[in-house]
Amino acid sequence: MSEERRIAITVPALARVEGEGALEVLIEAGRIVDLKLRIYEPPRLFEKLLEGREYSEVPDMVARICGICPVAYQMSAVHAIEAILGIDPGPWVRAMRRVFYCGEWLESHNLHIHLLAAPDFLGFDNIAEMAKVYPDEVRRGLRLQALGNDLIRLFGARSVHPIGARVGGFHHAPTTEAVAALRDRLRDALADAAELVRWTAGFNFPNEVQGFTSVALRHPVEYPMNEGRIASDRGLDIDISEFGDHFKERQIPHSTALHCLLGDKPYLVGPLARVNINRDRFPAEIQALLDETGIHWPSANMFHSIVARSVEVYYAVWEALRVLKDYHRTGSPGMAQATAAAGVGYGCTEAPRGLLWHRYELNARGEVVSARIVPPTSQNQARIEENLHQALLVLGLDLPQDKLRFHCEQVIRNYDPCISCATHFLDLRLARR
Amino acid sequence: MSRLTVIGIGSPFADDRVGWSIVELLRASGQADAWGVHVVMTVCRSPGSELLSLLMNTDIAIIVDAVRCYGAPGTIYRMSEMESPLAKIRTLSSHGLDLHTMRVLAGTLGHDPETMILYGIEAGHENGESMEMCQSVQRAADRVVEYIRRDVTALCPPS
Repeated sequence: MSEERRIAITVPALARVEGEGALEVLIEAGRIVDLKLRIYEPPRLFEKLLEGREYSEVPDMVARICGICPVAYQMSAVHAIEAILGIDPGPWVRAMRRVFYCGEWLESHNLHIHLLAAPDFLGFDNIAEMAKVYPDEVRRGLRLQALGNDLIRLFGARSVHPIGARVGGFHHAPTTEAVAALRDRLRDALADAAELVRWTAGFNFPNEVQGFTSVALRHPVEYPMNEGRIASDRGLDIDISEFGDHFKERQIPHSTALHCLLGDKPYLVGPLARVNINRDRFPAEIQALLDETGIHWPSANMFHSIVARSVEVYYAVWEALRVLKDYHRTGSPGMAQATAAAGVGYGCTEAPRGLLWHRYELNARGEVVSARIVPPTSQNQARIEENLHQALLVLGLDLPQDKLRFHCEQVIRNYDPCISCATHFLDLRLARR
Repeated sequence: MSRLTVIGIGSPFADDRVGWSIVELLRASGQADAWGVHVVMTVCRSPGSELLSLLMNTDIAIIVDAVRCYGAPGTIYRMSEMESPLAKIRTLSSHGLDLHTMRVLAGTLGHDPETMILYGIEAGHENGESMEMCQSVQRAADRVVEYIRRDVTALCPPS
């Protein structure tokens, strides 16, 4: 009997997540005695690489942190540096940065929904199998994702590691013809996005309600992307410069990414947290779409993340269309040259996976003295471990290992973790004694 | 008129940028104007959805990418489905997506290219921190440009 109770499972790599990591679970006498989300990718040391670099180099350097969400890194960086240099890039740049961000949400969210997560809910191993039964849905997802890539390309010159953003604005302004062509596609995409929301809302969701704190930016009137205060659904309301006073990063032996806690407790960032906190900032038609899902918002079921992500897809299309409706090309999409200045600045924007916080200190020559970057996945790590622990208990520890492993993988995918950003997933080692 | 798409896969870094560089070299040569086919030259990051869209909209796909096959840096591998089934080529993509899956998916969704050729260029092992390709890979890039020109001439002979 003792041999039957000691079982170890090793899966070489978790498919359908951004990056590589492992999960180790030790079950002893019917109890989980150890659960570790191991992130073993080597540290990437970007913060040290930035030291000594001139401020104008930072946006292109930080874009390299992530192939999926380079815009977010660029936006958090430029906001922080502009705060130090006293730059107000003006309303045109502000509006176009929002469209740039819409492009990234569309690109990242649709990749995750269609290629990574939806097969879980529909019982397929991968998108190739899913496409045999749901070809129209996959084509729709690809259209929406391509639209996102093209919006990024519009401002960033390319969708991979874009290079169009700079401190003070953009290196170029898109032509009216290019914008008009995308505006037509955005108009057509509204129907696609609405159907996407209805499709994902119809998935069969496990009834796993958990208690957790949602954290997101909160803007006075807008659904947050580039600006706002940091807020939680449990009363937190702080300026972005106060992040370090409330959120503490700590080294965990089993992870090369730091764990970030709020008041010593795990918390959630990302689409579900954003919708939970900011659904009143959606326009009326999107609030109606939320109601139509049949989900009671705010939701404490992490499996509803895919619906929150779909609603944000609709919003990104809607918002890009709104901003570009009366597009006029400007001859000065960015400030020519800012005067270097010493100081400390903060940038916090909503990456597809959640809050992305940057802090920079510059010297009088405009060189980076120190940099600190807190990506969303490192903020979600502790919450993922907490979620897994609770989910396994609800599911039942006596289930076959392949069922336990699949459920763990699905739980983790709900967070759309970008482990490469956090320092890349799933080698599950399950031991029972 | 056939549609031909040359796709460079990679990133801006070191030898991983060889696919992008070959597309840049082909664009700069201006040779595509004389090919007599509708040519698209583009780059993408990985065998993901962007590549899928490209495969669904072409008749001939020529894909160039850096590879690690434990050969000397700059070694060129040319694979077509007749010679070496792409199904056997699996990547370590954490998305669980690879070239073969993308080809199958393109077929499921209605259109996959009639011809697909893959050029792999062995990446060097010691210039990972550089933005520049090593000399062996640079020389290989020039040779692959010539090989692609020959492929197009053979696949789409001048009328």
